[in-house]
Amino acid sequence: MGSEASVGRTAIDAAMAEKVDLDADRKKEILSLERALDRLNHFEVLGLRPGASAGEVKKAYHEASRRYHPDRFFEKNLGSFRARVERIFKRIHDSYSVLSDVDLRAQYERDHPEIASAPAAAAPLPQDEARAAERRARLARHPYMAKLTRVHELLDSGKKSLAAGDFGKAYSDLHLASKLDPKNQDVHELLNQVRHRHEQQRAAEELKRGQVAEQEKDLAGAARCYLNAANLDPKSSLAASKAAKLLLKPGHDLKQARDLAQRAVDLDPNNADHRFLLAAILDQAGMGKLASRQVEEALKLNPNHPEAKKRQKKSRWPF
Amino acid sequence: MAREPVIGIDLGTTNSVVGTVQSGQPIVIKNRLGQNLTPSVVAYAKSGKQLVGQIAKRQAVTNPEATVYAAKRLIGRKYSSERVQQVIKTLSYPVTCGEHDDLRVQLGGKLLSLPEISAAVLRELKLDAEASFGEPVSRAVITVPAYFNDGQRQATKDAGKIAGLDVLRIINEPTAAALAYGFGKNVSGKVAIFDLGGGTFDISVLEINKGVFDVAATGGDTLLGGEDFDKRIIEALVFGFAKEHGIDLRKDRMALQRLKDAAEKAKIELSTVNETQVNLPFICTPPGGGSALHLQRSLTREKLEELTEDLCERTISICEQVLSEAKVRPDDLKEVILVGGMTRMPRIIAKVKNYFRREPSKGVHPEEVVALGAAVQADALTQQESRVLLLDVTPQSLGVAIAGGYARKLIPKNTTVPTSTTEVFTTSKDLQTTVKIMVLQGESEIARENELLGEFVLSGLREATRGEVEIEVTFDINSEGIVSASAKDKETGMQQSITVTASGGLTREELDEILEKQADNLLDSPEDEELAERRRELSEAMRNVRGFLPKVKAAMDGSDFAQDAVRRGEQGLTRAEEVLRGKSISALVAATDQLTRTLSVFKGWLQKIGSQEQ
Repeated sequence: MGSEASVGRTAIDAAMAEKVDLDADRKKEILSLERALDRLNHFEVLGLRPGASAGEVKKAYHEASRRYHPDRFFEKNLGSFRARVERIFKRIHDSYSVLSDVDLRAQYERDHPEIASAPAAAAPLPQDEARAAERRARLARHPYMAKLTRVHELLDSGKKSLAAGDFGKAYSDLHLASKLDPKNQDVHELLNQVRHRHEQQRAAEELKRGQVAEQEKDLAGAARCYLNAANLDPKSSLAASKAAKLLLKPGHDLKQARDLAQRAVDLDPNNADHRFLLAAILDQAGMGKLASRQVEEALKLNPNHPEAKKRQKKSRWPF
Repeated sequence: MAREPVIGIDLGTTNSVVGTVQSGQPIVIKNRLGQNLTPSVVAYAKSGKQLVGQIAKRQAVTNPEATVYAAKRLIGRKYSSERVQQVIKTLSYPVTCGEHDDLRVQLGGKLLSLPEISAAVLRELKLDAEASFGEPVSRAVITVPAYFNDGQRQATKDAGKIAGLDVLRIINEPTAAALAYGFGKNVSGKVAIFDLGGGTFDISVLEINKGVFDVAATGGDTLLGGEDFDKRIIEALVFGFAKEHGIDLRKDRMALQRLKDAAEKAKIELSTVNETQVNLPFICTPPGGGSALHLQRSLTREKLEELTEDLCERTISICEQVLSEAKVRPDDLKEVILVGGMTRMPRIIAKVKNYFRREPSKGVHPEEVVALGAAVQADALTQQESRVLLLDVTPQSLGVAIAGGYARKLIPKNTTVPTSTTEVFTTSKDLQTTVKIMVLQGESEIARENELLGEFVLSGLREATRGEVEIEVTFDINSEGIVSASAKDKETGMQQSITVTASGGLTREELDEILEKQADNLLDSPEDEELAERRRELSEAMRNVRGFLPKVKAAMDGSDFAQDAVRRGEQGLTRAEEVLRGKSISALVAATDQLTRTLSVFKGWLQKIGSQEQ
């Protein structure tokens, strides 16, 4: 409909040429919003995403009123824009009336199921938003901006992955970003955070794999997994004690087992099992006195610890 | 040049206040007697002079029949209405019925409409403001009770016009109070305004959000206020006196006026003390002759509370109703603000405290806050970049009369203005070719119990069985609160519409006539007396300077000083001519001062020359 479009064009040109107390930008804004009114749903009129809360609806309505209430143009010469502004405000108020009333809103959302699935967060002026996005994209293609843009993209995607719990992806994105822009503090901080979370996650995975291997009687494999877990997450007493327990078996490094068991006790001093494990390792290493002290501690924590009781009996009656 | 000042006026039942915003701060403009409150009283003295304000109130006792007070209770109402009849019974001045069922007051041998009475008060306030600014003021925002209907608002607007004011907007008193309360503060949240004034009670709930004042609901009773409390006291006094002496004091207008004053005074005193004395010596002479009788009684706060308990209770039941309409619980409110002199009564404060479950705000002055709020709105409207925006609502529902004598609401009350709505109606009879659209305001479902704002006829409909022809009715309220209605035949596109105006008792012609007379009268007003006086002074100064100029020029010795003095004198004269054409008193005074100074320079100069020559 070329002719129709050109008619619309002349009407706009006429309005833009009108001598009123508005600057060109404001005129443009009012004209484009007025023309868009029929296409916009109630959420879009107020610049809201579908499913916005009652508080957000009210806030958006007050914000829009501040811009389009006819009193804002009191005593100004507006020409044809007076009617346009009134039309816009009425529509803003209509949208608000529907969205602020629980029943009307529910009805509206039932009648327009497509809105809920519509792309989120439509701004009041979609054309402007689109134009701004295009400008940003063009700028981003500039070679000077390319590196910075890439860093920002990586940072954004890193943040998203972090939020989604995909620490591996977040770590690789952020690592790349820090390589591109080593001085970026944001990237640096986030990277540390992700690295930590990522290691914790891997530790948890190793721990699980170790438990599976142990059940399948693959003790050597299980020991390796537990050891990995303990190295990845030095704060996990469980990983440390599990690794220590398996390392106690003959043919392993007793010193390493003792260190791990000691770590488990340090991290979780109130766990009788950890203390008894340490005692067993110390016994093995021929340090009976230290072992006895650990057993006593373990019995203090849990007087009914069966193995500890047995060990104590043994040590009391050596003959 | 600074923009012309704008004012806000609280046109009250008993007192009126005028305010303005000066350097970003709302302030009360004192009247020329130095008081913040101007009594809303207009009188015709026996000398034939019209008196307004404090002087009118002071002579009320001796001149009850020509002293009009509480005009606000009658403005914009119909003579035949039951409530008006009730009110008239208690008034000391005569009220008669006008041509269109409106009210007229006999004053100084003339029949005046109520807008004219209120205009006298408004004009007084306008003059006070002009005296304070030293320049003319014409633009104002005037407040009315929230529950005033369209007719009462129009009548108030007419009063403003008669007083020579350009009424920018009529706003609701509680809303104005909220504007003053929230102005310049960064408050957010819901507040309730409890406004019990001299004649009316209003309650409004507003949500304030960073300068946006969103009215959620409003309601009230236009005939519930301090006057009703006074009336209860008067009745008690009259009853006691009748029991003692067998004389009904209400028949004596002068006694009634004295009783009224005494009752108001006692009521105010009982807000601070527990007991007070009513002393009215020589209140009347017994009909059979003999010495004059005195009225002497003590009144306790407890007794007053007992007499007015139902009035206090009524305010709270209206609050309940308005809050439930706004879907607000007392706990949701951030603040309760008391407005109006009557809210000083301890019983009222206790009731409010009990219902809203909190201590009411003491941050505002109950009698001045409304005028300050009106000033804030006047400022917000006329200023370029204002932070304040008021989202006001329609106080009453609008609808049309439908078959069976019922009313169908199109715009429910508490709808934010501007607004418009469209509904499709059909013919109600077979072969119906015309429909009459009656525009109604009010809450009743029975058409005749509502106020009729206007009516018009849409004719030329196709003859068809009933229900077949569809008529689209559109109601529109613009941001000025002006209602217009139109009806359209959907088949033929034929359309009829009206804009509802001037239903305030005066017809357009009558208003024009009054305004015209006003123009003739203009020179009589005190403002113009002063203006004439100042003009006379300036003309005289100009004459003197002109008289000296040739002499000075003749004696000029070519020195810089002399040339400079002559040039300044000539400039002063040109400016004075300009100022003389204007109406600004301050400019006239300034020009006169300058010419006087020039004159003394000339005189000193000539003296010096003369002494040298000798």
